[in-house]
Amino acid sequence: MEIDEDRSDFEKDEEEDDDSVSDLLRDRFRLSAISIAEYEAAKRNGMEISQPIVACIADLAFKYIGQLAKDLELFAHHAGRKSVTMADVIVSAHRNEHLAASLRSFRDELKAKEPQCERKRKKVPRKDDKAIEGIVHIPDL
Amino acid sequence: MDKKRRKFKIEEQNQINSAMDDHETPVLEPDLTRDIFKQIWTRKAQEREGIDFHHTDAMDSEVGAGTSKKIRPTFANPNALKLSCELVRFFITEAVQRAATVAEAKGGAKLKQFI
Repeated sequence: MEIDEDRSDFEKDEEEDDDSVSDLLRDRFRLSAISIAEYEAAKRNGMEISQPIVACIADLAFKYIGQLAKDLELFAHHAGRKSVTMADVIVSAHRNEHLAASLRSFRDELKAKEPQCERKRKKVPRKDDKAIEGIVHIPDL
Repeated sequence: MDKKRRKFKIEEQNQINSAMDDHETPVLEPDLTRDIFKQIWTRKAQEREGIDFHHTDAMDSEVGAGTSKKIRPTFANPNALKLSCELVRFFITEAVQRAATVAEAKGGAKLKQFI
């Protein structure tokens, strides 16, 4: 009984630590989301965006990034990898063709910025990269 | 060769730490995205480890201490982090632009209601 109580106290402490880390990350994320949201609103003929709306968008984006993390882990695991690659991120956006295309362009820009020595060291594009290019897009019903 | 590698690593780290892209657009910091992902993946790995521990504990109870396998959490490479940051930035941008479209249609100059 005592051992179980100790374990549950330990688990409770761990949970509290986890919650406080999560809160800190959420606050840091909110700051970035606010600056992005205000920038994008200002681009639209100098529009202002009220604080409750920014907070709402930031919270939605934080939930989205949580879901993205879970999806990326599943894709990497499905491919038999422990590390998430750019291919996994692009696959996570496969439901939206324009979004996937934008991400592919960004990926190509990142690859172009890599120094020559890193590019030469990398292997020939793997089969899964080619498979991603040829994904059949089935619209949601 | 080692000096060149070290220099490249420092430059890569500086790029990661910057919160603005080449066009001075605010972006999400890859470090922050990495920390968020790490927290979620570590939690998942601990949950899986706990499940495996309870499964093996019943089997190993006669032998002695359970031999649970330590599950390493998932991690992301730097380029995948940058791409994820871009994806989240698209999400925020799209949300703001949709709200702005509705606000403009209603003749407002400020985003007050979110649909």
